[in-house]
Amino acid sequence: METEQIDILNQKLQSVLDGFSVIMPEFVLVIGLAFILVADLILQNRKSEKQRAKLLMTYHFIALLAALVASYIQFRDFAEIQNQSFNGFLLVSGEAIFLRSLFYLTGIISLLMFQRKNAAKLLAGSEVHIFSLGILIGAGILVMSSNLLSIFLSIELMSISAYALTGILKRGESARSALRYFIFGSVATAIMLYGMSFLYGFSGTLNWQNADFWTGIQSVPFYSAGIVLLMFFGGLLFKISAVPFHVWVPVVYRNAAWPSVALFSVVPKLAALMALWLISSRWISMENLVIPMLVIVSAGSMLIGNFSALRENNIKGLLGWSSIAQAGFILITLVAPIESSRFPFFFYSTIFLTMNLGAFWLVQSIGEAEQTYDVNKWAGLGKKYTFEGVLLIVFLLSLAGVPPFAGFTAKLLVFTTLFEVYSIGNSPWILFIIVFGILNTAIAIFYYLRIPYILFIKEAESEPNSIKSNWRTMITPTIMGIVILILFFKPDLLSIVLNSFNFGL
Amino acid sequence: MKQFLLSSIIFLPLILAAVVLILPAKNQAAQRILALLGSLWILIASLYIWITSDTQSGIYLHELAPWFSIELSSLGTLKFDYFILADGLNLPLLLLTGISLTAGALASWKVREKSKAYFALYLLLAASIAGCFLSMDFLLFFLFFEFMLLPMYFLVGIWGGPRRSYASIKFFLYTLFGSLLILIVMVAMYGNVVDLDASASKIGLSERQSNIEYINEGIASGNILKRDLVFSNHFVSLHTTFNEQSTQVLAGGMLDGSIENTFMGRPLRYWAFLLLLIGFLIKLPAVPFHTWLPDAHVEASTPISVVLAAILLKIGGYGLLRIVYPAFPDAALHYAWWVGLLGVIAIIYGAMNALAQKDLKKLVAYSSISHMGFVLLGLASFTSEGLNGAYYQLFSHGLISAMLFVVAGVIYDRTHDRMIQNYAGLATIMPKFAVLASVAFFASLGLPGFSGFIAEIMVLLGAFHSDSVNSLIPIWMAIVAALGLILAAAYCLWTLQRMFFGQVFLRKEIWRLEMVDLSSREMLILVPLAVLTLVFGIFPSLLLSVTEGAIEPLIQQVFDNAAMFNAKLGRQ
Repeated sequence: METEQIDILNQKLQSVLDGFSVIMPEFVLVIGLAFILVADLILQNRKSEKQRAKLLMTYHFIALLAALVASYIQFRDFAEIQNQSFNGFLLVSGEAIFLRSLFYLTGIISLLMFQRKNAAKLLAGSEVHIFSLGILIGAGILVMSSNLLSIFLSIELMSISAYALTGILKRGESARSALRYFIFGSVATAIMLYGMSFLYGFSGTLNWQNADFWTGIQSVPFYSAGIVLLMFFGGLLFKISAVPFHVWVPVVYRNAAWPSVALFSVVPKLAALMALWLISSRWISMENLVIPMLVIVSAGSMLIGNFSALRENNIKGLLGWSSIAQAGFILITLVAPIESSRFPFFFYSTIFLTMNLGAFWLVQSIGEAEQTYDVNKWAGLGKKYTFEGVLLIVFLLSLAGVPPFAGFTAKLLVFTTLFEVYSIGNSPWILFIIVFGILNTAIAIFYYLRIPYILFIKEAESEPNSIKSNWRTMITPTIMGIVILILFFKPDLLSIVLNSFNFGL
Repeated sequence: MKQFLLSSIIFLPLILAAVVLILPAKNQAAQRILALLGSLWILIASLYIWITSDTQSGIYLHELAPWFSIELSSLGTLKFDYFILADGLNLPLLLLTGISLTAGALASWKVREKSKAYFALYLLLAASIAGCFLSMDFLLFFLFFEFMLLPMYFLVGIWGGPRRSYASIKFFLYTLFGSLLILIVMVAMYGNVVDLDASASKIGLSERQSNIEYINEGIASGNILKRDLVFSNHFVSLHTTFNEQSTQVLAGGMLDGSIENTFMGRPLRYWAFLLLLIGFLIKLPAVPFHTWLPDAHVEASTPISVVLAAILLKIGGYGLLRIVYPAFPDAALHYAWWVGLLGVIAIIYGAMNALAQKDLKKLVAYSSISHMGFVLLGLASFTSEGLNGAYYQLFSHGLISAMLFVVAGVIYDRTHDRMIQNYAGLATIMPKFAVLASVAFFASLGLPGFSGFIAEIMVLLGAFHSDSVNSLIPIWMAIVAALGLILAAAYCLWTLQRMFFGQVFLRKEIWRLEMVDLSSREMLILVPLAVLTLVFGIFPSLLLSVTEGAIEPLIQQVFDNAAMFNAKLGRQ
């Protein structure tokens, strides 16, 4: 009896040890996080603020680079990594490695954005670094989760870090929006947890890969299953910031430190989307329930995101609403069977990440120099910030889905896939979302085009003094802009990259 | 050398745009000259193709290279190509593009404010218009079609008149909405046309097996999976002038029509046709969708108005001929009556509005709408005269509207005022200008001897014949449309009389000094245009010999295929 238990324990421990290779990048980040904590303690009161900020940033940067290297090693040795690990809690896929690498790049870009901000005081403390890394660790685990508990755990890790990052400016507005974010977030996770407990009750398992999980859900009445699934998805939708879990977005975007917003406008969102995408491989039996749900949520996200953006005058809030609408577009790819949705999903995610970060970067460089994020006060600034303005147009038009930018290709892929799915199943829901989505891009043009209009066409109230912009800060967005252009003309480049990550699920 | 001639038409203006951007902003003369060179190149190259090609052969030149392809696993592979081609259907319009862009570049000679951006955008616009006419791959076409809006938006929005921001955004949103409707159909058309060669090499079919019948059978029996097929989206597979054997329509899809899918009680094919129709009618523009045009014209500067009226509108008509009719012939015949009605409404409504205008440019804009109505009527008649006439109208209106906008621009440049009632007796003080303006107005009203006459008379003939040949258009439409000619005569002659004849009158004394006769640059723009309208009015066969080779087979194909579709689907 005892030996049996010891055997089981032994097996479990072995499984954890074997699973180490799976979470190597996260492990590296945790070490980096701990190091920064200790370094902060040691450095405090010893060095000047500037020096401390510089040192901590360097550590942060090294941790991210190390995580990238770890991801590369995972990619190289993928054959040796166990597909399932931690007793089925995590599921490694090539796509997860791909997306995690993108997250670490996002972390680096966010850090670079901090650097440009005159934020030595903020960076001299360890908080920004720790919570940014916390988001990345949570996101890395979420994209591998195959168990409801690991989903919950990683979402909480990301959320708590994000709440703290929102409030870190310690100004009134910032603290208030952090509180708001926290309350919404707690409610969403509570709802998710409630849904999860039901799901466990239905099926007796928390592992969504388990066939019992879905047969269990099917065995309960249709609408109860729908409500419970929606509750479970609620937590993920909160991270995706899809309607109706989007309420926190504009407030938080307006008031939190902008580089942090850049980080959590893409990383948790894409991580949660990827978690849903993974789940979508198993929900075929529930399609008549899930498809209407996805269609309604994504249609709502597009509609509310776009219409609210029309009336938004704060450019930060505007990008917030736009990210809600964009999430709707990515979300809707999930109605396709997983092998068909794979390329559109990851193409859109990659492009979204690139163009969103690019727009964030340029909004910061113009907004900070002008000390205002009120769109109407940007009138005629195109004369002063010509290069920034033109680049910003590239990203905004790409977000809007106008050729020749990759955002167009991404939308085209989504709609093409959807139409093919429609022509096979003739589901009216899918036809509806195709037409609705395309018409929504027309609405979105209104506000995306408003910024180039204000920058270049509207007359400036006063003659702007010409300031030479610092070309060094334009290197990163220029590269991202070139990526957006290249991926329009050669989208198969990304498909080659993605295929090299496709190890099969 | 001829190998890359077509590509050079698109890419030379693009390269010149880059050069303009690199050159220092102070070097304004170089910017102007580069813009002129880019426009002239389109003119020269298309003229060269016209002269050296055998007009009977259907296709004059083409270039085909793979662009990219995307695997959508179970849905097959989508292959997109860089496929451009010149044939009887686009070459005349390409020539028109060259002519009016050159005229526009000359008319832009005085642009000094932000001239670097202006000429770079102008060249971008030139490249995308040329690309739009040449593209034969739907995605490539859509790329140019949509990209054209951006330079136009800024050209109207930055260098336009007082209400330019309103006009530019209205223009952008209207046309963008239209192009989204086109996008819906484009997406729906994917997965319908099989690229035989690529599919055969992917599945491993022998040469004998690589035909569409074998693949259709294979799919029906399950031997061939859809995921192994490669789909293309060339227009040409829909088009008889280029019977490309390597792409074929797959059975069971929307384009094949062996299965009738309906949506809200109407076949899906009809819906697709209507979406495309509205998309192109916004561009044309036809009457319920036209309100962006007067605003855009009034606010745009002279050269941009010239380009807008002379070419951009033509893409609407061209798209109907190139894409909509070949792809959905059954729906085209089904809705011919409605298209004809829209044409008649546009003719009358546009002309009535033109009569009421006080602003010269607005008058010309409404006359454009009226003239585009003739295009629609001709297209709806589906007779040889009607379609050829519609095409002739596209070309001729390009020349005439360019002249009219330059005429309006000449006055505006001098006094910054375009109100008709503020001028009278201009013939006395500006005799050369009066002669050329009269030519423009006479050509516009359809006086025999000018190109407009040929076009409109052919359209009317087609509309009259339609009742007896194919009974698509009732006679009354032709009669009402003929009334439009009278209205055109009324507004043209009335304007001419008010502005140019009688006693000299200028609203402000000081204008007397400004109102000098045409400069040599303005003569250089107007005289060739006037000569061309005369040439094409006297020798219609110059153009018809080229277009007939493309349009006759198109009509034949529309009727044949429509009959085939209706038989397949058991429609009445």
